[in-house]
Amino acid sequence: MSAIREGTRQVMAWLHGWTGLALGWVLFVMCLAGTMSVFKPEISRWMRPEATASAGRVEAIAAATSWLAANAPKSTGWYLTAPDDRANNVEATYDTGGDYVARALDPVSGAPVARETLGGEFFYRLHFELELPFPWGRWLASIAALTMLVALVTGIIAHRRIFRDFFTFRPRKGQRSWLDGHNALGVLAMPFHLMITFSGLVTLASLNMPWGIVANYGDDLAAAFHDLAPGAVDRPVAGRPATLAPIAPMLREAERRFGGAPFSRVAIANPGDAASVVTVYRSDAAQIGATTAEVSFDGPSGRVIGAWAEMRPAVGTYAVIYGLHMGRFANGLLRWLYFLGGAMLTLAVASGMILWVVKRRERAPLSLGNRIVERLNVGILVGAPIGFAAYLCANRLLPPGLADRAQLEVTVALDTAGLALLVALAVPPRLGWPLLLGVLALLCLAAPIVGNGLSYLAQALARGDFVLPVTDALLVAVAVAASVGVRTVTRRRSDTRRTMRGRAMA
Amino acid sequence: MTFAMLEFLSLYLLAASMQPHRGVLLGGWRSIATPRATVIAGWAFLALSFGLAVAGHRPTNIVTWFGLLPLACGAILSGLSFAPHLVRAFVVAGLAGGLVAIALH
Amino acid sequence: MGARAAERRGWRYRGNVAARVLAGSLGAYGVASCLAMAVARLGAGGRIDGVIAGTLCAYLAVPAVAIWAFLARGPWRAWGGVVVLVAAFGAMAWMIGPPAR
Repeated sequence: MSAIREGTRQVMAWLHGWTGLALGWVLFVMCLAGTMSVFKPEISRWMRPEATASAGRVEAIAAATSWLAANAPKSTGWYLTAPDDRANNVEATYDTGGDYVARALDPVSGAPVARETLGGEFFYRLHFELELPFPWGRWLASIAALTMLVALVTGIIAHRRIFRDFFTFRPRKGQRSWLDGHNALGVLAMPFHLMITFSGLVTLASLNMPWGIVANYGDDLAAAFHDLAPGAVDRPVAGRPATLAPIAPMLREAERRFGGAPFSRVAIANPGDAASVVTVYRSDAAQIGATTAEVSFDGPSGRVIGAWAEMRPAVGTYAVIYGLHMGRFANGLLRWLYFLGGAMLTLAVASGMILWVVKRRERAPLSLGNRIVERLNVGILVGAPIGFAAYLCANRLLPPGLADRAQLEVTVALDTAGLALLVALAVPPRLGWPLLLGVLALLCLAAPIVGNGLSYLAQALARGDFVLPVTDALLVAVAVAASVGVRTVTRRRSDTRRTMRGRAMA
Repeated sequence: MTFAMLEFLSLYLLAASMQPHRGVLLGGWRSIATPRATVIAGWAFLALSFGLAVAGHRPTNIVTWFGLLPLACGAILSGLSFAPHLVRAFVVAGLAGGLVAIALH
Repeated sequence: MGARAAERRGWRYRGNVAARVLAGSLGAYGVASCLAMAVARLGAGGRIDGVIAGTLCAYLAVPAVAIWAFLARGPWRAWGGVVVLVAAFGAMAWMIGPPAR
């Protein structure tokens, strides 16, 4: 392609490589966690195998609010997500005088489910908060996403024969193969990669690009958020206690105003107060746009005090972009296509990191910096999945009634990943790769089996619930892939040794 | 929806036929299906499939159209790299199956 | 190879790269922010519509400026472009003034 000068292409390739290296490991974790989050409610169901009760949306929220009224009456807010065809529990976030806690509430009794766990929320939060305190995690995620955008654009410009090489993949040729693979993973799903990166930035816009709001609203943030969702009423506490009116009529009224469409989220601000507000949001499952309609009720009386259905083109565009990233509207095949896109992006980042090392190793012995990069590759590219697999195993092994169980599962995940990283830094990569890949295979095989795993599988199959079996199958598939990885890495090592011995004998 | 998918898969065969893969993917049709013809046909079917996705009254079809791109391209790429002779067979089988599904619908 | 390697380790080269990195990162963010403000205030619709348009444009500006920072003929030119854009968009936003409620 002579339209772009060779010098420009080289600069773009240089920039692509360095921006990729700078935040590649952060991006790998974000992409991996994000890809897992596509199946957030399914993972949560896998991690709460006993919680199989189900109830209608309205009944479940009513049960949840009754329990919360008895157990968290002084909370500043109850944030509930209703069950739907993918999740049977109510996901609730509320505070009991201290920090906010996230619990799954049984849809029939309203009480927290016995096995306290974050479920799929762990991957979702990790994806954009990276286990760092607010706002640093989201800032790091934003910077990484901006870097990813630069990497994508420079990668496109630098690619010399993007159309002619479209269907090219030459396996078993060292650096050439890694480059072909990296290109294929990047180019074949380019619309997805650009969409998910751009839309991801938009979801964090109020943090990383607030200047538009500053320009038009000054410091009146409340007015800006009100303009964004006019149906959500935000009013200060009255200071006088009051009981919440029955919530079921409010929910039914909201659905009537949504034209029969179901609701999904319910936010109850200051529930024990006279100025409490119940805001009901329309479900994101029926259309691409996220949060396109809401109704607010006066808490103590149940009277409607605000309602909105989004029709404005600009805000509608924002809702669609936000919705494209969240992908809540995607069902069946489309959901799996989101998963495929995310997996390809994750593998594109990983193959890029490996390519950095492979390319330099074929030219000359690695410098100290690049040897560290190589070991970090082992530790993070395999260590992060190891942490995730450990998280799942911990879910099965920790006894259900344990206090602070949810936090403990996360600690196990992070500590295991950290340990894997330390091991990878300590041992040479030719040992590190097969060792960590082997550990990953073992953990992925263990997760469906340990702690009564097989009996949960049998129970699920008996009820016709396919979430557990499919998840277990995917875990086994990852284990098989990791084992193949071990064999490939060790075989190549012995092949090279054989060739060198042959050459020495000749 | 099945239309979009069908067009999609058939055109990728055509679009791919314009390179070093011509021999494997076209076999005996090589003389009739010149590079020029397959390129034009490929892009035409691609545009048609996009049009069908857009014309339907479900906006999610457009998202699905984009989502199928990596799946179709990845499948063809994998086929070409590891089992080239199977690719044509699969596309023909897929087309036949799709047509039967439409006829039965 | 020897001359090029030496050139790459020299302080002149490192300064060049460092200046461009700053232009392509902090500079790009600055340009994007000012663009967001200018477009937000330019908006024909309501206040929030302008904000959304401005924010979306801002994200497009970041890779554009980052690429400019490395394709410009020298680090001074790279920063020059950034400064000009920040001044232009900033002035636009300031002159249009905050929108009426």
